[in-house]
Amino acid sequence: MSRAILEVENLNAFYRDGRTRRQVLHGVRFELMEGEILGLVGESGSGKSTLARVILGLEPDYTGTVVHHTERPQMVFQDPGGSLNPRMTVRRTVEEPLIIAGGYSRAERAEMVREMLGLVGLDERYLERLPAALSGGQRQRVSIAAALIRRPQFVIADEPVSALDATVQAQVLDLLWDLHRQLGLSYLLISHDLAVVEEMCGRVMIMQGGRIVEAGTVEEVFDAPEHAYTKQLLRASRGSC
Amino acid sequence: MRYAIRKLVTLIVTLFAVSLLAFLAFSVIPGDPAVLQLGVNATPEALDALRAEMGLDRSVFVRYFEWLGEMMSGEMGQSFAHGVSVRELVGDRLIITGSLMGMGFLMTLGIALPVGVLGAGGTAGRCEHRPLQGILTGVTQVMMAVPPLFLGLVLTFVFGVTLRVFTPSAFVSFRESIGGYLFYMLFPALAIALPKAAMVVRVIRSSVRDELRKDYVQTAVSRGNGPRAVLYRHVLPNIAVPVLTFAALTLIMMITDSIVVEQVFSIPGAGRLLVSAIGARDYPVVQALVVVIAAFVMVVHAVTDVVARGIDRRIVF
Repeated sequence: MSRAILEVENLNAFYRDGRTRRQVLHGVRFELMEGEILGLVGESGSGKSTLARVILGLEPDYTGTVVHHTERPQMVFQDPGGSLNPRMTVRRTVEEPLIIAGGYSRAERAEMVREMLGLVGLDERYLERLPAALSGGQRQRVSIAAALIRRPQFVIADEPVSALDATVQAQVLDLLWDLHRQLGLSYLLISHDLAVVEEMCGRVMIMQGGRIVEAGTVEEVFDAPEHAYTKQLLRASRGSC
Repeated sequence: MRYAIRKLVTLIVTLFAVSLLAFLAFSVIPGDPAVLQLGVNATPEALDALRAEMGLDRSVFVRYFEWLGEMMSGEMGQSFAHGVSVRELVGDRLIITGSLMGMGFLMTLGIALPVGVLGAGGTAGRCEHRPLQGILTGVTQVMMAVPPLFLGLVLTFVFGVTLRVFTPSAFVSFRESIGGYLFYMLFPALAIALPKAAMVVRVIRSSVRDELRKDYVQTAVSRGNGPRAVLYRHVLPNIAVPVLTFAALTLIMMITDSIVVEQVFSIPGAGRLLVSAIGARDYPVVQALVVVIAAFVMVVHAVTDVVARGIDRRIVF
């Protein structure tokens, strides 16, 4: 019934480190289905973010195929402090994707921005603020609002909560979950936090050294891990037993 | 607005402090203007008489306030060496030096802003034009290393002696011909402007390069901005303040450059007057010029701060 909105086939990506060309992704293949939240777990340096960047078209050096069945996916980045332009007000930041797309009148844009801010739990008082005048959680809300303003079907969230306080983490995850339910969004949720993935995702992929070493439903992978690395990750996150 | 007024008050207070220092410094350093004027063989009576005429026999503070009064009245005191009021001596020369620096600064911006932004544009896009970038780096590096003194000689040789575009040492006063004056000043202004333009280009390029590494640029690309939009809409607004501040700094550095370049191009400006007045221990002239230069430096700083604050609401002093 559900269809794939992203198909990645035999993806190899490379990173130029001075004169050497290092391979950071090895034969990655997976599909993301409509309305699905797919988790991507792995330690830093395992290639998670590179995979996201290739999917977004930010990384030119790769072989293999990436087929999108939707419009360009939008991205929510990890650090809500650095990922917003410090000189752009909330209004400009959230409005920008509409300006780039073109075809919206000023009034339409204002209305969409207002509506979108409401959806992420911010009101008009924040419109003219700069990122410096927002808390970490508020910045991440702005970031999510900007990612969603064009109503993409597919959002890549790269560690969307790991830079936030625990209580704010829960709020932002709730928000992402609500938006998933309300708008039928599909996510590729990148995280090193297994608890977050367990709570949010239907399926999960475990990545190590640029390879997907294990994939399946969250229940399958978390309850009956097959790969040694997955077992190790689970042991580390659940404490020794 | 309140900020601008606060700046203005600070500026005036500082200016008084500078005037006091400038005045005291010359009453402390060795060297007697009376001896210098009459020669070492003058009789003590003649020296005393001249000192009294110059007002040097009275206390330092009486002289300071007297001088301050004259500075504010605009006459700026009497030159020891030339026997005319300092204002008369300095007036036209300040206009000449001021316009030299103004032209130099406009040229600096006129060259540096387009070159810097276009040069940086190459690094912002994927199609980094490597040979061109390398040439730009090389040219700016050489330009920065060339002192205006040498550049002035080269320009004189190329445009004055070889191509005969202008006649070296044939300064035309703006009182005779504005056009001729501006044309003659074109070359000294260029000698001042080129090294500074190279510096500003470097600052623009390195600021852009630093800025491109920041996370928000990646976000901007992921939102669908092309390389040009990233550069003009995101990066340039963020580097405007540091680049502006640096450009203002080059304007201040041009004071010393103009002193040198005035010698090379035989321009009767304030810089040459300053050098000769120091040699002749003509204190009133030196003091007046020091105060004028200090005022200029402070005004440039204050204006830069006010403008930067206007551009960037984040700056809090």
